[in-house]
Amino acid sequence: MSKGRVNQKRYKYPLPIHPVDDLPELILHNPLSWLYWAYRYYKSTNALNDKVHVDFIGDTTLHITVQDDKQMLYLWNNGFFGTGQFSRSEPTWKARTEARLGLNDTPLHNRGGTKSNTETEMTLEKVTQQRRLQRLEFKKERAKLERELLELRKKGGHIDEENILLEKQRESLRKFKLKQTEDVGIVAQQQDISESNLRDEDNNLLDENGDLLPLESLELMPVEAMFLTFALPVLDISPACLAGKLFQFDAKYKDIHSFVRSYVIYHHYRSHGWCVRSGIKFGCDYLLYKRGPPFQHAEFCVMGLDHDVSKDYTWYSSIARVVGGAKKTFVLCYVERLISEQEAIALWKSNNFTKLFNSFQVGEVLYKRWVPGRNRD
Amino acid sequence: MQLSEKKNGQQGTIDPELDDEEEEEEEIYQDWSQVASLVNKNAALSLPRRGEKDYEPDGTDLQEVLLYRARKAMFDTISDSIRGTTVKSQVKGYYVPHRHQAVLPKPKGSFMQTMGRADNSGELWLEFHEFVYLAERGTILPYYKLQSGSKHESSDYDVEIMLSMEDLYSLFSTQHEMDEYFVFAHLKRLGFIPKQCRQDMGVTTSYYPSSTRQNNLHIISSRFFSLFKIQQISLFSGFFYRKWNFFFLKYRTSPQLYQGLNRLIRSVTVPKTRDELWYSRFRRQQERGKIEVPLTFNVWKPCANFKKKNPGLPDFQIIVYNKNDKSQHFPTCKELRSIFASLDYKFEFLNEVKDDLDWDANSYVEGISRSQYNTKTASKSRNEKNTLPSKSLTKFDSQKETVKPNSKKKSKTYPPHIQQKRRLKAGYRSFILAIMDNGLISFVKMSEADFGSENVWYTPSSQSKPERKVNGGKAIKKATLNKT
Repeated sequence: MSKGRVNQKRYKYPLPIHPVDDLPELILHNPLSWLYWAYRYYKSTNALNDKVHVDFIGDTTLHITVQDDKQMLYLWNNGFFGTGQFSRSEPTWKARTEARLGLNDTPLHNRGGTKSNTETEMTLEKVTQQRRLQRLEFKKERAKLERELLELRKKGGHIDEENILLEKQRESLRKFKLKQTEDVGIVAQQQDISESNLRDEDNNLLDENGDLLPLESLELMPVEAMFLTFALPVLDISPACLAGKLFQFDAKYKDIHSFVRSYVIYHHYRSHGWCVRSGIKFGCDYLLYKRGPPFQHAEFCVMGLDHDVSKDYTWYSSIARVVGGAKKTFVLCYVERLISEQEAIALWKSNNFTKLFNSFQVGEVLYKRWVPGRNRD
Repeated sequence: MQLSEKKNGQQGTIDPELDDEEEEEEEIYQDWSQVASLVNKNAALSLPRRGEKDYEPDGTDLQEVLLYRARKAMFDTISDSIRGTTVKSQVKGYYVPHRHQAVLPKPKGSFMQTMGRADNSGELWLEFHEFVYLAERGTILPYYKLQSGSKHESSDYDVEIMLSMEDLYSLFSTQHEMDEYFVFAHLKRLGFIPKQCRQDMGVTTSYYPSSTRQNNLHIISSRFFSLFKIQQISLFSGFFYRKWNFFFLKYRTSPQLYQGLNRLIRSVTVPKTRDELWYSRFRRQQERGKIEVPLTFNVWKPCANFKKKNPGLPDFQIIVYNKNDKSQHFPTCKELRSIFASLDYKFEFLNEVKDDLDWDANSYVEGISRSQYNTKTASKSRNEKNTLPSKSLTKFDSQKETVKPNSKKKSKTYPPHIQQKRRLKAGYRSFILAIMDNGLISFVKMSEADFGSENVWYTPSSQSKPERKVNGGKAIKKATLNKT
C-alpha cells in the first residue's frame, strides 16, 4: 500500500464525530431492504459511545490532557487535535520507544493508528532526523568542492579551467544528492542497529510486567477543548465545567476577551473545513491546513485582531516576514463584538455560549509584501 | 542677486551630471549595451546576480576583479555619453508659490506624455512633486518666479532665481507631502505612471456607471440582494446546536456536520462580482458621514500609449502612510473596509471569473462606457482635424491589437480546487499601502478576503470507488458542494 492510500484510510474522517455512513444499500424493489435500512437508521447515531476523558493538570497554568493511548490517537486521527507532549505533534512517543526497546513484536504499521513509513518503519521524527543528517553530509561535500575551487583560484587558474571545474563539481554534487535519496533505507537500518543499545535509564520506563509506562499524554489547547465540548460532544466534560476551569468564577470581561476571540476564530475556520493548529512556530495565532499536516503544508497563517485595533507597523511587518519566508499567506482576522461587554460577560456567566459566540463577526484581510519590480508586467 | 549667482554657479556644476541628454527634439538614450553584455556572458565571471553572494573574501583577487570590471563598465558607459544640455533645448520651470505648482512656458520632452497639464496659452503646469522629480532628473531647470502682476508680461520672467535641490526640498509644505513625493519618485523611476488621486485629470474613468444610471441599477440589484440578505440572516440566526442534535439529526455526511457548525460565527461577505460591486458602491453613497481615508496615488503600469487626459482605470491604488508620524496609524479594520469600498481600479479578481474582460467596455466615462467614449472622441477628432485622422486611428487600432493576444493567452481554465485556492490567496479588492520609515519605503498589498464563503472540507468518498478519490475526484465533488 502506498503512503497516500494509508493516509486516505487513516484520516478518513475530518472530525471526531462521524457521519452515519454505514447504512445498508437501499434496493427500490425490495421492501425488506427498506425495513432493514430503517432499522439501521434508527439504531445509528452520530454520538460517541464513550467520550474522551480529559484531565486538568496544574494550578497556575492549566494543562488539558488526554492520557489514554487510544483516545489520544483517536483525537489525532479524526481532525488532528492536540499535541503529544514528547512528540512533534502526533503522539508517537510510545510507538517510537517500543520500537527502540524492541518491546513489541508486531510491526508498527499493522497496529492501528501508528504513523509509519511502510518500508522502513520510520517515525516522522526519525525521517526528519535523517534528513538533517543527509543535509549536513551534503554541505560537507559542497564545502570540500568549494575548497578545491579556491585552490585553483589561488594557483591562478585560468577562467576556462575554473569553468570546467565548476561544471564538474556541479555534476558530482548532483550525483551525490541522487545517491543520498537512494540510500535512505540503508542509512535508517544502520541507525536502528546503533540505537537499539539499551541504556540503564531505559529500565525506568518499564513497569514490573516489562510494559512501557504510559508517560506521554496529549495536550489540548483551550480552544480545542472548547470546540470538542461545546461544538462537538467529544470530551466527557460540559462546556460550563471547562469554562469554570479556564477562568475564575468572578472573571471580568477583559479576562475572557482574548479566549473568546481565539475561540471565535478557531470555530470559524474549523467550521469551514480547515484543520486549525497553533501557529506559534510561525509567530502567529493559527495555521490553516487544508486537510491536515500529513497531507499538505499549511498555506495560511492567521493572526487575530480586534476590529478597532491598530498596531505599530513593525508588528505587522515582522510577522509577515516570518510567514512570507515560510511561503505562507498572512491573514489578518478581525473580530468584532456586536454586543456590549456587560452582555457578553453575562452570557458567559450564564453559560449561554451559543449566543455569546454568535454575537461576534469575523472578517479577513490579506497582508502581502508588494514588490514594484515584480508587478510591472 | 549675489545669492542667486552663487546658486547659479552651484547648479552649473551639478547640472551636467544630472541631466538627461536632450539634443534637438529627440532624446538620446544611454547606451547600456556594454553593461548588458557583462550580465549575459558566462555566469561565473559576469556581474553577480541577485541572490548569489560571496560569503567572505576568499583570499584571491578574483572578487575584486569582478567588482572592478562591473564598476568600470558602468563608468565607461556614462563617460562615453554627451553630457549637459544645449542651451537651445533647455527647459526652464518656474515655481509659482501661490499655486504651489510650477509652470513651463516652453515645454518639450517626452515627460509631457505622462506629466503636467497644458493650459490655453500653451504653458504646461506641473504639480509640485512632478516639478521636483523632473528637476532631480535634470530634465528641467528649476527657477523661483517672483510674484508680481499678470503672468503674460515677459518682464516677470526676468526676475528669476535658480533653485538648488535643497531649495526645492525646503519648499515642501508638509512632511506628508515629502513622503508622498518619495513614493511618487520611486515608482516613477521604476517606470510606473503614478498620478495623485486629488489631481485633476482630463476625464475621470470609473468602474461604476454615473449616479443617474445607478437609480435604475439600484432597483434591480436591491431586489436581487434583498433576497440574498434574508437568506443569510436566517442562516445566522438558525444555529440551534443542542447536545442531543447528534442523537436525532443523524448527519449522513461530514459536510452536513460542517454546515451545522458554520452557522455559529458570522463573517463579513465581500463583493465579488460586478453586481455586488455596484451594489456596495450604491450602499456607500447612501451612508454618508463615514470615516474616509483618502487614496494618495493612482498608478498605471508602464505603457507606451498612455494618454494623460483619458488614462482609463488605474492598475493600482496607493495610500502613503508614515510609520513615525504620531498623527497617523496603520489602518484599523473599519478604515480598511472604508478604503476597500472607495477603490476604483481594474479589479483584477474579475479577470478570474472572465478571462478576456474588456476593461474599456466595463468602465465608464461621463456616464457612457469607455469604449463608446473613445470611439466618440476619435470620430470627433477625425472630423475636427482632417490632417491627423490616420494617426489617431492607427493608435487606436494598435491599442486593440496589443490587448487581444494577451487575453487569448490567458484563457486557461483551472480545476475548481485550484481556482478556490487562488481566490483565497489573492483575495478580492485590494490596495497598496506604502509605508515610509525615515526614507525607507516598503509596499504592502492589502486585500479583502472571504474565508467565510469558501468551504474546504474533505468529503470522504464511498468505499466502492477508491480510484476516484485518488485521482482528484474529491475536488470536483467539493466544487459542486460549494456551489449549492
